[in-house]
Amino acid sequence: MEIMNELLEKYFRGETSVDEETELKQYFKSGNVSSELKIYSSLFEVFDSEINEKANKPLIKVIQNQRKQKRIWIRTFAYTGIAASLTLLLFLKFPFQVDNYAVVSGNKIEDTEFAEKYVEKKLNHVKDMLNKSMTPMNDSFENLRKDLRPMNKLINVKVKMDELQNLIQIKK
Amino acid sequence: MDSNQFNHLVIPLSDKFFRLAKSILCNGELAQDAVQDLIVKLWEKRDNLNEVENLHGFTMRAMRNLCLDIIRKRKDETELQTDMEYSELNPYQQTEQKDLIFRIKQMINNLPELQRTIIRMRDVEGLDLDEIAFITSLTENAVSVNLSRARQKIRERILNENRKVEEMQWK
Amino acid sequence: MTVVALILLVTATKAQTLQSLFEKYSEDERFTYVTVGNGMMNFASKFAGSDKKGKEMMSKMKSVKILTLSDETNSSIMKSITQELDKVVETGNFETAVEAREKGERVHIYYRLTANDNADMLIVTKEKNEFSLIWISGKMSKEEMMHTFSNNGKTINLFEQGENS
Repeated sequence: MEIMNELLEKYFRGETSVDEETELKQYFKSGNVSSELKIYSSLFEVFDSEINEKANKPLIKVIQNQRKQKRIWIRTFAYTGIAASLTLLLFLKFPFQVDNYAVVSGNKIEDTEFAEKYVEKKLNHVKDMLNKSMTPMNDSFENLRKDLRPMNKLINVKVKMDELQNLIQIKK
Repeated sequence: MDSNQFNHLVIPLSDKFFRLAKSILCNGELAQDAVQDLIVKLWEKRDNLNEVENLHGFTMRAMRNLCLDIIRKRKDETELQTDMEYSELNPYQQTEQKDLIFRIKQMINNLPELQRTIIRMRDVEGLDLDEIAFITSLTENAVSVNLSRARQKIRERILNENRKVEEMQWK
Repeated sequence: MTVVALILLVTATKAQTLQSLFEKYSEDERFTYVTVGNGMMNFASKFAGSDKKGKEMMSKMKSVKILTLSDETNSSIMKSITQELDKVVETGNFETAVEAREKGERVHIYYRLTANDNADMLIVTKEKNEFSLIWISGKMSKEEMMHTFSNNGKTINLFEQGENS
């Protein structure tokens, strides 16, 4: 189809509108593609398939109300006058269970991998920060060493000058 | 922004974030991590999100910048492990339909980051030029130029491969 | 009952420890709190990369707890945690291992030995929009702990002429 050829040329020039591109996609999906344009079918198929890729379900949605529930529970216990020691024990235990988890803005995310990756990133970040502040100092030391080298040369020159002067004096 | 609004406005964008991250990083696992990171960051700053006019553009731009940071950091250490590397078609390889799709994905991933990001934002996500310009912090014109370059490059490679396949078939 | 309550009240006013500081602020919504404890083997291998010595170090770490405050670094909560932290460092037998400053960023690393060869390392970082407290505990010496922050085995040592490994 001549129209499709032209549209495709326009597409490769980057001049098609979103609607025109939809038209092209439909065309290639239809299966009724001319032999010369057939080689481009897969390209549009790729675009079509990629839109279906999805993220893993994000974690923050999970366990939204857990914190609130915990608070209410503790308050109830206190009000019913059950041994205060029990309440305190429970309170202490909750945030400090040995599991790996994260609490982001009051929401608990019980995911070991997430917690581990977070820690990994943080530690790497500290590494970067330290190296950043160390490098200028290391650089200055290096520069200092470089600067000192010409001084050594100067000393050599002075020695030579002295030798020369001695020669001149002797000649006199 | 409270958690309800966040769940309704930001969380549904995760799939788009993922596809963008995957396109930039060329690695599915890293992309998943990057998305999690972004969601956490956005959640921590959810109070500021109310003032943002274009939430979609703003968050997509944040995703891209986060990924570019990852690439920058990784450059200093080890090589970024990509899911696929593109190489010229071996004349002895058969090209089947499924293979071709894989190879075209490779071709796209092999484009420079900006080009592959732009071509996917347009041809997969169907975003307008002005939106893409906002996300990439470029002018619409620059986006247009990169888009056509990307498409031309892919076309070139497709034609090239097709030629090689034909040569092989004639042998 | 009231006797028990009284005793608990008394214990509640005891001096702040690192543990209690973490407990307190992990409950605060403005903070992000992450803890990694048992089973750090997996984690160890990922972080240490290909550095064999690093892996050994990491496997000695028992737990890592991180408290992070984003964006509110000029507020009163920042002041209060900093004050409490200073007190904890003062009274808790910590020594300063590293103090680094660079363009508005600060890193302080404190270290102390506790009972049974255990050690605590406390890393305090302050950047423009983020304040972090990282608490690592395990059976490691100061040198071993510092090794985790070196780049590929090069220790952070300014006074060596060449490269150090």
